[in-house]
Amino acid sequence: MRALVIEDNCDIAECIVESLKDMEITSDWFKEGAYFDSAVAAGEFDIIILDINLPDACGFSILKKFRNAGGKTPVLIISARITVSDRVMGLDIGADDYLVKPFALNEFEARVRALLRRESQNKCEVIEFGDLNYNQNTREFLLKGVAFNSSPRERAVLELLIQKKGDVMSKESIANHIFNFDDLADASAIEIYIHRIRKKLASSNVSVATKRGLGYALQKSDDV
Amino acid sequence: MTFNKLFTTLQGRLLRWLILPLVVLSMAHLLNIYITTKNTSTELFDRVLVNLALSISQYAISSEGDFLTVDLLDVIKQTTNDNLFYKMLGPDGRFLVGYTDLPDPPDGVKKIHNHIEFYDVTYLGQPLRIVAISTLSKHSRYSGWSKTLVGQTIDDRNQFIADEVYANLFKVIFLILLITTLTIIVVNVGLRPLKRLLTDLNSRDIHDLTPVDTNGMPEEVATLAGGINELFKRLVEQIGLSKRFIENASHQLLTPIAALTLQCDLAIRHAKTESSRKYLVRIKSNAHRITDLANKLLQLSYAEAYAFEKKDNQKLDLAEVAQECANSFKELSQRKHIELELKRAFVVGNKTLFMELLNNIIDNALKYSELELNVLIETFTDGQCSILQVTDSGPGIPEELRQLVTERFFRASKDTTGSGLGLAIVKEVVLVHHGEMKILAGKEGIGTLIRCSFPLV
Repeated sequence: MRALVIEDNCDIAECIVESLKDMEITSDWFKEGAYFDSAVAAGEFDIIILDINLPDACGFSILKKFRNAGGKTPVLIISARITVSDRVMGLDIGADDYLVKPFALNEFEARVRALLRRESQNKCEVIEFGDLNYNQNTREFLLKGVAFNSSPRERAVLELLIQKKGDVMSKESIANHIFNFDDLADASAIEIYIHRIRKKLASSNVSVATKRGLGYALQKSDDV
Repeated sequence: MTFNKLFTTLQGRLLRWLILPLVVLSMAHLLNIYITTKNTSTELFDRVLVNLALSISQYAISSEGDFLTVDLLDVIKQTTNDNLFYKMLGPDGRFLVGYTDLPDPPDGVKKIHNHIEFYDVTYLGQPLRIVAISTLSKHSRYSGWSKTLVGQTIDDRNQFIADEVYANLFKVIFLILLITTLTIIVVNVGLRPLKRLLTDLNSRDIHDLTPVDTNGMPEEVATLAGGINELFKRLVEQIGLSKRFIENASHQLLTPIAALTLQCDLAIRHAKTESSRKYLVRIKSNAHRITDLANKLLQLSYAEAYAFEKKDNQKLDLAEVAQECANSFKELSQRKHIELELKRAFVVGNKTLFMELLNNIIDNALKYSELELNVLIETFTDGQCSILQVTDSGPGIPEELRQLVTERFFRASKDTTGSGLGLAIVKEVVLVHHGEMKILAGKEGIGTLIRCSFPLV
């Protein structure tokens, strides 16, 4: 999972990035609204955290432009503006949720989780795929009822695949969802994660299939 | 009109400026009348006196110095009310007839004619006007120039002057009274637009700064009203400025607090020891208090600004507002049970402010009660007012504090965690919606009942 954070206050941004990291969400943080367009063009984000009072732009107009251009990524607005009309305006022009500063980290995390869950088309808390169970709230995998041991990056890849429920996802897209702009890793690193995941799934009826030229997809062995 | 008003009111000033010169002019006019009349009367009476003197002289000569007869005296009496004194001296300067001691003309008296002299003396204690004429007679015994002196008291002359002056005095007084009355009437009529302006201003709500309608006003009053409107405009701008200042200040305050809160949350998560965790939790709760304060200041400023701007004014159903507010509270606290008894009750106002009003009442009740709290929110109308009533099962507010709790920054006790603004906001919101707020004891004396009544729509 990858988040784009646009927030001009370094302290707040730092905490948000830190909190997202705790949630195993990779993030890219920009202080200025000017970077928004190129960031969404270059990366694949699962959620956007957008401040309204930016030094160089208004968050509302950034959001409006993004939605008009067909951007579908869920947007969580964070702002110190509290009037009802501000909230209504934010939601009307395409924000998915609105968080008033100051907010508790727990609440922020809960809202991010809620937005990601909503976006994953799997409204229920737990996604089941063969022997594999994924809890969207705790972000834990259970394989045959036992906790699935994996590194955060492996988990991130598996998370993307299980949310696709067997649909194909390209290597580049996976990389775009789990690496931020600062990570030097390239798409080939994904192959290593896939390899490790395959080994860990070997004893189950779930496997990762390679669709040549297209990417990867989860498969249940009884499908084959 | 009291004497004081003569100096303080516009009417008084106008009257002063009109009446004072009028009085001075009238005085001058009366003086002029006096002088002219005096001259005229002197001339007229002197002529009569000359004729009298001539008659007396002729009679005296023809009667050869005999005393004047009763006939002649009667004739003379009919011409004048004054007393007459005469003396005749023969050609040789010998006294002929009359009052011997009637004073002779003093030296240097101006002769009107070669043979006529006038002069004023005091004789027998009364002022006299005397004419001395020299007549040439060809009588056998008194041939030559004889001199006749006739003195006359000046009562008639004075009466004549007085009559004339009084007649004019009455005219002038009548004129002054007429002008005063007219001035009062005209000024009253003229000041009517000013009085209307005053009534308009006086009947206004304290927060009403809409411009005065200058249509149909006379130009002078319209200028004044224009000045007032300009003042209103500047006041509205100033209020806007201070509102924006509070908003900006609160926002500036909220950003570092937001960072502080998040940093506390992270630090609490990563706290190594229980004691550092304890302090971090305290820091966080203080950050929350500052947040609360900043937000409440914003709410107050919003409520005050609403009073002037009437922004986002709409017809609201109190029942809907209460329902919405109760829903938002249910999510947040397990400690309170909110019961609703809602009947439609419409008001005109700002929805955000009404939500804040309810939030603050419930929040306040919650802050001061340690046990579980039951809150009953009722909305209804009583025929005259739309009423929003909140009863809680909290500790209640002592009667002597009920007035004080709505004051800003008032705290019932020192160790409470409130901002001291909650009920002040409630009161402000009620007041800007032209309502009335009452704090009473709850049913059976338990808890608090806060009743806010608003004009029915």
